[in-house]
Amino acid sequence: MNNVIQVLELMASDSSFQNEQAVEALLKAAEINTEQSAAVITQDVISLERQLDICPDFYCAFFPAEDDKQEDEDEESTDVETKSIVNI
Amino acid sequence: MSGSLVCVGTGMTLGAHISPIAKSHIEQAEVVFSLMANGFAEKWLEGMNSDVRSLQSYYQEGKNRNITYNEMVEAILTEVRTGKKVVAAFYGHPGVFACISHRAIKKAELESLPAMMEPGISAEDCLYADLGIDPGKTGCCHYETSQFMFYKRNVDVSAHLILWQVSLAGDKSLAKFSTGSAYRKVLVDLLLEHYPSDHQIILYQAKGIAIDTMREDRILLSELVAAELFMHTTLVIPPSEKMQPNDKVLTLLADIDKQEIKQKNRPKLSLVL
Repeated sequence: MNNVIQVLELMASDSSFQNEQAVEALLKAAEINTEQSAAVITQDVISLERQLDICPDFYCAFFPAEDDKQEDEDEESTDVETKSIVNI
Repeated sequence: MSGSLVCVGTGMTLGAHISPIAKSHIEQAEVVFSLMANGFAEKWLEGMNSDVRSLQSYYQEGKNRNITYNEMVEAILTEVRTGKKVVAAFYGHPGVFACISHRAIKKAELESLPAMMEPGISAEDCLYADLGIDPGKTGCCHYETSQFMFYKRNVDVSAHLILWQVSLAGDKSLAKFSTGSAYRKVLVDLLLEHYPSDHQIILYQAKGIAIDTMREDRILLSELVAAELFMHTTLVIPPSEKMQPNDKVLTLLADIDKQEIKQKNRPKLSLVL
């Protein structure tokens, strides 16, 4: 696993890394480079995305589950308007 | 050997919210399909299993999302049918506002393939913690925003109203990644039938990674049309009125209480022979 991702995981899951000093020590121990460390400390998500070559455009649309009848209709129908109403 | 499917939730914040059993399922799966809310979480999953396949590529602007979801379900089930131990990992909770996991499990069961779901910490859970809202205090009603607009609802202004996916308000095509201010104005006009225009509302976004900041923008309802919204922005509308007592039901209950007390205080009868 990428070291910075491991750092982010630890920051979120270990209560001893909830202050800046502890995070700085963690970054040093994990041998994270200066630019990535600066992004973590300044909470610059965009900079970290660029450095890790992470695509910023993620789609996270969600969609309620439909009832059985609606789902069956969706599979059989080609009427976009009808099926769009519930199944977001 | 029969394949199997487990749909797991990874929670909202990378590393903070995943359950031990969900993590174990991911680590031990032969194939992991992922639908995460950001690229950091996708990389994180890739570190847990050597065969992680993102479902992101199925999304396309202009493509009906219902088709996208069915394609995702098929991709997942194809691997289960070949006898593999498959995990489908979703951000948040895999069963909340998520038709893919429900559809995949239902289809697998129809084909007599073992399938189950493990919960995760959802955006709703984070919302209560981050905004300090207790849904038990006045009640809380949740709707997907477009569904709220398409159907007639009895809005309870004495409870919290939470509208998910507000940036897609009014999208009937299922093919857009956001709708514009004209659509949003229809939503605001609908809400103005129930709330005053100067009612304070909250735009909320949970943290995706440890260095993210949670969004808690308090604006007026009238300002919603021009507000900056993202796909993961949630609209929280606090109550505008106090709860009104239901006198009819309270009277009925009081009568029952009286009868119970009367029966309790009735002198005990003993049989005299």
